[in-house]
Amino acid sequence: MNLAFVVIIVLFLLKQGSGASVLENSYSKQIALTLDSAKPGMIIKLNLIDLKEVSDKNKINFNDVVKIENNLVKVKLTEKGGQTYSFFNNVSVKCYPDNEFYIFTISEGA
Amino acid sequence: MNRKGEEKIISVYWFFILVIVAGGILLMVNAFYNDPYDVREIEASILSEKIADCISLSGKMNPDLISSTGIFKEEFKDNFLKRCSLNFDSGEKWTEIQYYAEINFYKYNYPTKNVFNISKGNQNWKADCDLDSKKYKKLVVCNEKEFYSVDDAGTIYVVKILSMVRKAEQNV
Repeated sequence: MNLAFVVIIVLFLLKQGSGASVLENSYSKQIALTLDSAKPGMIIKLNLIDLKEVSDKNKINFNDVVKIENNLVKVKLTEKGGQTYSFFNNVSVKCYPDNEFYIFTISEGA
Repeated sequence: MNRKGEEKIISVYWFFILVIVAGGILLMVNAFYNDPYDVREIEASILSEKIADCISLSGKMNPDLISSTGIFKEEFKDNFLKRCSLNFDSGEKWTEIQYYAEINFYKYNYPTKNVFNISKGNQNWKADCDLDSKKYKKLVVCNEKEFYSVDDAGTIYVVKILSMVRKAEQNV
């Protein structure tokens, strides 16, 4: 019984840490901060395997997980969810997935 | 001795302990994961760095900001956001601007006399910078930066940058 209790607790903690909303929250902010520090001409390659694993599990196309609209980063791992965070760097950003990576190309903003 | 009765009491007692431990872990995990990551301190710091890079290039004042005769240009001040590639629009979610940036220039020999000033964004929360940000998390996070820069004429300036980020609802 004690062993079962420990196993249940460990599984619960692991599940909580890799939850969709936690990942959406942290990755939207991390990507926004990365873009804040970026300069035109840069190409940034981010390993987003954590997001890919959860999006595959939730049957969300990995192409739709990260979107950049104007100066907003949107990370979406569930059908109804999604977290948005803005960045202040006035640059134009295009992003696309490449296996478990996402490539961000930075150019001069409008 | 009634060993079976004792064991039953111990197992009920043990079960009770396990429920309390599990409940405690559940509450702590919920409290931890329901609290969003607060990235405003880093964000304000990046904003200060970006402004510093725009004002001073390798220790020399940006020639778009100050003329060779030492006159600050109002055009740079008026178009500060565009000149420094900044966008303070935080999306539809916010009705008010969530950023504020202020740059004060002082001559090295007269550190109390402000010779030029640039400010953009929402300055309503500026007074909150004096409060303890650890205690008042729902207010703004501020970052101050100070450095020296020299113009073409060789005059040394002290540049003080104040950056503020609010976005409390997303970070607290």
